[in-house]
Amino acid sequence: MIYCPNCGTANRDGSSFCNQCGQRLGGGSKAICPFCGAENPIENIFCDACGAKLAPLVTRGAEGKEKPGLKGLSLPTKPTEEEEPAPLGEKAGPPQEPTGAAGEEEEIPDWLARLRASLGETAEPEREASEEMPEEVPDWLRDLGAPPVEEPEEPVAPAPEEFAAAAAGGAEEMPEEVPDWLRDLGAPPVEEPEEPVAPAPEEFAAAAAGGAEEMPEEVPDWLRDLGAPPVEEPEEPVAPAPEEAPPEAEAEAPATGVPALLGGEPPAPAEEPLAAWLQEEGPVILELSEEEMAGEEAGPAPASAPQVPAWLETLASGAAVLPEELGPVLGAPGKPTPEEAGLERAAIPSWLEVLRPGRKREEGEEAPAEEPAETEGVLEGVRGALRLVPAIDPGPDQFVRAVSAAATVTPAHAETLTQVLARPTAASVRPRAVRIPRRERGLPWLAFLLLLAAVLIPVLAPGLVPGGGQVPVAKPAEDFAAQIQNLAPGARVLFSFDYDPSVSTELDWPVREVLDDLKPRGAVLLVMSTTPTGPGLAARMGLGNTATLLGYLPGQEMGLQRLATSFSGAFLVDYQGKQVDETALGVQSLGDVALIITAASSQDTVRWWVEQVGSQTHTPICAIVSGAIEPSVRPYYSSGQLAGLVSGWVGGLAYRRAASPDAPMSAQDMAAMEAQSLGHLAVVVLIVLGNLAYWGKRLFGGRS
Amino acid sequence: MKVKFGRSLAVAITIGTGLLVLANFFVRNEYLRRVQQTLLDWAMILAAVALLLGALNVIATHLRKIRGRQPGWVYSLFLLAALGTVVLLGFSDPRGVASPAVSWVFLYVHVPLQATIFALTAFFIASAAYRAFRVRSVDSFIMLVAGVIVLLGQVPLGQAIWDRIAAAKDWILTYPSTAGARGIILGVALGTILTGLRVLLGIDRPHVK
Repeated sequence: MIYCPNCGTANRDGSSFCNQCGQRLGGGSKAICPFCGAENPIENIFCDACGAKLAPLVTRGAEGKEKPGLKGLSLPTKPTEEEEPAPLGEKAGPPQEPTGAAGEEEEIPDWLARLRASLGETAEPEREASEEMPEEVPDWLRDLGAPPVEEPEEPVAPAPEEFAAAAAGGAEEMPEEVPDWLRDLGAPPVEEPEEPVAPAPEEFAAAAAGGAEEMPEEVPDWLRDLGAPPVEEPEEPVAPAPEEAPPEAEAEAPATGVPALLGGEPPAPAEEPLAAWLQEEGPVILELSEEEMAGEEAGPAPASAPQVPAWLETLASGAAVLPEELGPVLGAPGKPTPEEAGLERAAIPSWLEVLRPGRKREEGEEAPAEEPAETEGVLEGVRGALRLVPAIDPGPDQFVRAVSAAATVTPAHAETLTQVLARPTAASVRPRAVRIPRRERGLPWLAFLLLLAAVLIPVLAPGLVPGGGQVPVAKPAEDFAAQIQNLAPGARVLFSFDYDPSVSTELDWPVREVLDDLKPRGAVLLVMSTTPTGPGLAARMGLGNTATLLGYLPGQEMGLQRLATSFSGAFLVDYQGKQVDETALGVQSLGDVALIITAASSQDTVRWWVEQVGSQTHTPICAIVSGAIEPSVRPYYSSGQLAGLVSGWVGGLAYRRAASPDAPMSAQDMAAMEAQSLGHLAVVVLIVLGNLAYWGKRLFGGRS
Repeated sequence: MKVKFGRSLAVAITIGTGLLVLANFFVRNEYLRRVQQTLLDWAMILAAVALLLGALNVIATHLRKIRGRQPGWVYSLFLLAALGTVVLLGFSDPRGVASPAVSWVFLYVHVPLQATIFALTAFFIASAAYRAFRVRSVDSFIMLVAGVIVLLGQVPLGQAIWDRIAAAKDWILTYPSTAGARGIILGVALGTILTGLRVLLGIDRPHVK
């Protein structure tokens, strides 16, 4: 099948014209491989024969002239060391060693070998070149590189035998795998024997003549070396360097399949005019280029700018002169422009505008800033690796997509945004009162009435509460009382008031019970506090003459550690401002104290005593705490770190019962215990009522 | 460099001070004890100064509120007036805080007010008992039963309802409650050890930031 380069229609093999559009097939616009010289369909990107990239497209126009590759277009990737063809300069120069020529020839491509053969090199290198041809090269191609001994006047390389036979017998006898250009090569060049080959591109010709320094910048190094003159080694045992040959001679060199980039001529196919569709497209391409250029003038050159030839960059300004070779494509000099020819410039339809790559900048629109180079890290010096958002030039299709995507959501978003903006600011928002359900609005009053009844009923009707006179048994309180009872007369007891006035109503009672038990035993009280308000609370207790109110010890656990280290110096003056005399107190350290009692409203205070003091001394520590922190302090009692524990009001009564089992309970104590009993009962009743309401609502759908 | 040296010096002082205080727990040495005692005295003085700084901060804050006529500035005015009055009363008597005037303010203003405010929590507790203490799962039911037992086991009324409720309360407080509380205490202790080691090793430097 032959695919039409114009419309892509598949045509039968051997077709000369496309059956769809009439495009000439097989001999029209062709892409000549710069490496092997094979002709490829114009739409090919890589050579069918050798796989080389056909980037520098070479076309043959109507004039039969070969169109050089566009300056600046990407050249074939520099091959690796093994694949890289030996530069022409090196080949032209003498070998490094006398025996190195053959080895050097191993790296010479076949097309260069044929070039040597055509230039009439000495027989030895030619033979070596022929001998060193790779084994996979077919015989007929190997013969192609042989010197044209039999036909020295023949400008072209001798055709192999099969081609000679083919030339005599017709093309149908040629092997099928032979490419078209080889078919032409096998045929006698009778049509255009004097046709000079197309000259090399100016830049290469100039480079070959003037040296590497005149090479265009975009030429790779290996190609620059190719054209460099072998100044150091003029004794050339092999083929003469290209620069030694005048351009005319080079132009007259016979076609050997040398790539056109190097000034050689590939096998000449039948010259065809440029495809009509391509000629028509020329002005269109020019128009697009102008627009692109106009956009690029405003900003820096894009990343691909180095590949754009200079003449193309300045095309928009009109300062450039089109190469002659591109005349048929981009408009020959003197040819009227479409406007001059009376043609109206067609407007690109909107649906096609969407497909245009890149967005055309409006007039006055600022060009995107150049990508800053990275200043640190592994990307240092790299520009544009991490693109800035403003530098991204989205295509118009993206705008279209954005608009279409936003069409469905924008109204809703806009409405939401409007509503949000219309809301009053936080300063003007007044917190709305929490609406309590109607059925629960009487709850605070119910709780208030229950607690009020719990306080008033024991006062108004004492003895009404069942079990009001019974005092619960508490072993921690019994242990506490045992510690007091074991004190010897005159023993030093350190009593620390470590609670706040907020819990004084709860703790004052058990504290009084303990103090009242200590006084008759002749204990010497050393009263202190780790809270600033503690001394004031202690002062109102009526400590008696045997007690010394030492005052406030700052520093919390640090102060207690200081106290455990040495009692001396911990208190310089007492609560009354008098000098503290440790000798008179009979206490130099906590080891001299028989018992430590802390009345605390915080579990942390008890912990400080246990950790900082209990670990330093063997003095037993007892605690009087509020009922709220008893669960947190209980572990210290269970472990023995607290010798006794009294918890709250009930704990005080339990202590009294343990210390004085025969002591009668006063009416005031009875009323207090009954009030506390009713208060606890009220809380339990509220819990039960709450759960009844909750489960009634769940089970009966809120009828409760 | 200067800053680095200062920080390093602060960290070195911290580590040295901490090790000296810590060593006194393991080594019985009179010199170490005196050094530790001196350091703890300094700490107590600094704590007292911090209390003074707190009072100054309260004054500055409420003065700013009064100057700006911010909402509730009148209360700030009363606060500063009360504070100044107590301070003047204290400095006007050589006995200081033990003077009769300061004791009167403390006993008949400060203590009743704080006790009253704390007593209001009884109403909040009662309301919360109705609203929040709901049985929604087996766990909450167990907690509810335990709470009721402890509540009633604390008071004589509970014993009148069930004579073994006090024993049940003691069992709950001695075993399940103690187990949980001990776990918390052990966690706090481990955290304290870890924090102390991090500060002593210079890993955490909250004091030099």
